[in-house]
Amino acid sequence: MSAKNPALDSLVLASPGEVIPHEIAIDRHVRRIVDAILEDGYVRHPILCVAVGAQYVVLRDTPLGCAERHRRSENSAPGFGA
Amino acid sequence: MAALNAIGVQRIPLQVLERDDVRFDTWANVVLHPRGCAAVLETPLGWRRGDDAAAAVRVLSSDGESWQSSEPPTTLGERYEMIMRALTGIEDADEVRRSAPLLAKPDGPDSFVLGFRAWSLDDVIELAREHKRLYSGLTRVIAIGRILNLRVPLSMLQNRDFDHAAWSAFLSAAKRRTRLYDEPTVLVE
Repeated sequence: MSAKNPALDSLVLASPGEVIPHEIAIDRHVRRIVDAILEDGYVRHPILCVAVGAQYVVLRDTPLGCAERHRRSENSAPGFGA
Repeated sequence: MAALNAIGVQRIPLQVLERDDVRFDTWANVVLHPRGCAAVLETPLGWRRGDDAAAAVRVLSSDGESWQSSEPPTTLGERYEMIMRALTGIEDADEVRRSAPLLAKPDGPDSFVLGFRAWSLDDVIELAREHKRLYSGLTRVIAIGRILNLRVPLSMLQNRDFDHAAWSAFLSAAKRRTRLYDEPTVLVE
């Protein structure tokens, strides 16, 4: 299901100190995402989180679309955490 | 988020979900390892036969035998330690594939399923606040009303001074291209 023109009230720009990840970052994924963001010049999708007090706990951390991640992961071997 | 920190952004674009709009679940890991499920069963978790959903960690071997970690953990921290200990056994696996727990099956003789007690949203929030981070591929999050294709310019995120007017103008323009996506869920009984 999809709809155009959603309300964007749930979007915020937070400082990095306000954001708490729940997963361990994988170096090769981080490098790939850095390259993609620098190449594109934008962050495609907002990171999903819930508010906990004055902070935000990250639930899903996918600034790229699935198709982009697969296209840009040709050099990453399948394996733990892939 | 680690990528954005590596780039050195001053702001991170977030979509803040209401808890009622989040469905939280668990992935099972289908593991291909040269030593099969022995790779995990050698970790000291008091393994015994069984498939109790309350056990922190469970293994389904390729020959259909079920194993579970001994005593159900009494605290979330204890459960976290047990899971992380089991996961160290598969760090050198040939392949790890995530699968819905009900559908997870071993792929062959060296394959097995590593399953975990289901997470709740509160579990994961508590772990995160205690800086106990999980490996990816364990938690499954289904969000109702995801905003996609926002395309926040990097220059806006790198700016030290937050420009409210620019952000508001960006959001107004973004309404024309963003997409609201309700993730489909499939329930298998």
